[in-house]
Formats: sequence, C-alpha cells, structure tokens
Amino acid sequence: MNVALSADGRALTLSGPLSEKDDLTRLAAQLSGEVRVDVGGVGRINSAGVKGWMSFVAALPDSVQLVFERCPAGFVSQLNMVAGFIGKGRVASVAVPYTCPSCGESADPIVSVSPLRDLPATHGPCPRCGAMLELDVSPDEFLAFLQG
Amino acid sequence: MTASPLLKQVLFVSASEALRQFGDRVLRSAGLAVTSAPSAAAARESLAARRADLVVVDLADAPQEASGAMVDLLGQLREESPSPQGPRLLALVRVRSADHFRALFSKRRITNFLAVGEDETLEPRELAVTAQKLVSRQLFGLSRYLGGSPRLETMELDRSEQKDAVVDRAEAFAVEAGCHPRVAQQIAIAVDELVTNALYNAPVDVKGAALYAHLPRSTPVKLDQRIVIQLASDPHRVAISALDPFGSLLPDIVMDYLSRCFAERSPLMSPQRGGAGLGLYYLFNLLHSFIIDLEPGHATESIGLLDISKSYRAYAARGRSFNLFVGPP
Repeated sequence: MNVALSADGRALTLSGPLSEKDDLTRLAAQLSGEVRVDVGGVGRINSAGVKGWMSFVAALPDSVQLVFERCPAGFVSQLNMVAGFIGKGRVASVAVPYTCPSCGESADPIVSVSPLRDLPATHGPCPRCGAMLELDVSPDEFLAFLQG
Repeated sequence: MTASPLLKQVLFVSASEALRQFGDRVLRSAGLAVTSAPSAAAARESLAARRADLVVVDLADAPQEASGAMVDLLGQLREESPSPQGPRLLALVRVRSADHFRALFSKRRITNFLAVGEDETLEPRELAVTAQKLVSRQLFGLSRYLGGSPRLETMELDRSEQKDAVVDRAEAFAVEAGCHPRVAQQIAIAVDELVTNALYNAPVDVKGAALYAHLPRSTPVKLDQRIVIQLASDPHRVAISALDPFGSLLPDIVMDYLSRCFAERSPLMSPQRGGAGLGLYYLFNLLHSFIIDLEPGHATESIGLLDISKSYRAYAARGRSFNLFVGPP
C-alpha cells in the first residue's frame, strides 16, 4: 500500500492493495486531531490486510479522528463486514459503483454520506456507448454501515 | 414407482411443489432414487417406511430462531443419525442475513446447505454433485462442478513469494471468463485467501502440529510439498480451488470459526484467534459456493464457485452456499 501523509499530519492518502505486507501501526503515532483520509485508490483488501489495519486503528491515539473520503466499494465491503473497521472514525463520502448494462463500462462517482441521500438509480449516459449507467449495488446493503 | 434398492435413496422435503419437481428431476438424472415429501410429517412417515441415504430439507424462509417444522425435522435427523450409517443431511436455504448464517453454523451445526434462487430452483449441476458427494464420499475434483469442457488452468506453488502472481492471474482469468472487473477483483481476493490458508494454516508436521499458523503472513514460508491451485470456467461459472497434501483442517474448527465470525463480525481483536478463521469468513462472503473437501491427514481441497456476473449487484445478490465434506481418514 502506498502511504502519503501531509506535512501537518492532517491529510493522509492511501492507495494500492491492503495486505499482509502493510504495517501501518507506526503511522498511527504521526497523526493528530482530525485527519482526512483519502482511500479512493485502495484496491484489493485481504483478511491479513484487515488484521493489520485493525492493529493500526487500535493504535490510534484517542485525540485522533479519521474522516474517510472517496471510499471505494471494496473498502465499503469491509465497513459492512467487519465491526469496528474504522474505530471511532467516520465516513464522509463513498465512491458509488455504476455500470453500463450495454457495454459494461464502469463509473464510480463520489457521493457524500453526510447528510445521507438516496443513491440515484442511474448516473447519466455511458461515455462509451450512450446507454444509461445503472447503480451496481443494492443501496440498503451498500450503505448498511451507516445504520451502525 | 418403486425405487431400485441398488440406487442411493434421497428423500427431498420441501413445501414448494416447484422445488420438489426440480429436485426430483435433477437428482434422478444424477442416478439417484428420489422420494419427495411436502411436509415434515410426510417426511417422517416416509422415513419410517424406507431408509434414505440422503435427506434434503428445504428450510424455506424460517427465521433463524424459529422452531418451524422443517427446522425441527432437520435437528431431529441430525441428532438421530450421528453415525456414518445414518442419512446425510442437506439443507436448502433462502435467507441471507448474518444472523441466519450464524444460526446455521452454530445452533444447527449444518455442514451442508445450498442457496435456493428467487425462481425456486438451484444450480442443477451443483445440486447433483453435492448429493453424489454426500452419498458416495468420493470428494475431490473441481471440474465436476462445471459443464461441457471447462477451461482449466493449474498452478503449483511451494513458496509464499509465488502468491502475488497466482492472485494476479486469477483476476485476469475471471475477466477473460466474462466477469465484470469488480467481480473479478473479488475472485482474486478469494484466491489470495485460499493460497494463504494452504501456505500458512494447512502445513503440519508428522505429529499433526501446525508448522506456520503462528507466523505473521508477511513472513515468507517455503513448503516441502506443493499446493495445487486451479482456475476453471464454463460459460456460466468460474471455479477456483486450492489442494494441499496435509488434510489438517478440523470440521469443528471450521464451524466454530464461521459461527464466531458471523456472531461478532470482529474475529480479529483477540490475538490468540489466529489461523484460518478470518480467511474462512472472507471466503464464505466472497464466494457464491464455498466447498471444503477434507480427507483427514491426507488432503484438503477448498473450492469456490461463482456465477459469471456482468454486474457487481448481481454478484452480491446471489445467495451463499456452503458444503463441508469429510472423507475417511
């Protein structure tokens, strides 16, 4: 996983796969206050990566609150599947999967979840073939993490 | 019609006439003799009159804590037939909530269940293969779950450094098979979990003691024997498998892990809960069908089946099936 932390420790960008190769616990000590975490580029997440991630979350000082932005579908799956995945953090926005039923083209527009809105069933015309892009998740299941 | 005494006997219990007809047709085609019953009471009458090698019980939409007639029947049969001579049991389920799965794995201890689709059918080949495996105990093999002449790739590995290439290949294979890239990524993660389990959790010494389960998964390992990874597809499904030569997985541990993971959704906060637990939970959630063939002390084959989905939504909406088969030691 690629990690980029701003000089003031308030903006963190994570990208690439989250796996057993990633030890983020030392990163926890470098954070303070509210930290905006851009996870839009996070790819595959395996169970060993989740174990390491949970150690990172457990190591965060009480003063730190992570605010997650651009959460992709794989990250949202973890939110829904693993209790305490972001500890005391909160999600600001998610990348909502849309797919073209005609040609399979994908789009992942960013949607704010505060306040919670309904996820639109379509997302404009497909840039490749012009058909309407359709929501590629069940809204209730995708946003289940918001229910606590 | 009187069934041949030479054929293995299946009692198919479901309140759904459509499902009974479907099960009758598929299982007869698979070379099994089938008797149907529309209720738990009719099933008990049938069992009093003739033996069954396999009882298939449709749990319909029974809530996890309900003591419906079908649930009671399944529980009674499980308690009455713990011996190898008793009928094997296969549940049919429709509900997909975590609470329901927890109940299946813990309270009911159901090691074999198949998901019924919204159209009141099951994947016919999977039903036939599952029934045959339950009555014959001939367990191993990936291709039997696929139709025609499946496309098949086999890879052998003995080192953890080889995992990334296998996982990358699995994702590309799934795309080539027709899966949406979002679904292909899920297949890649499932292969990652299968390989990790085979490399770290499966290896044991001659006394059966785990060799590498205690190690962080970032610590490289090299096995004395090879594990075999297979990727396969037909026009409708993708199948993945990992075969190890150890057979060290314990059925009770599998059920305990899955039960606990569904109960807590947080199996990792306690450091002593290492091993395969979280990986098994991930595999169950990632796959449409998660199958474990276990020959204790000899081999474990973990198989995953997924419908080829053109959309992530279709992939996620599909019910989940689980089958744990244990052969002779």
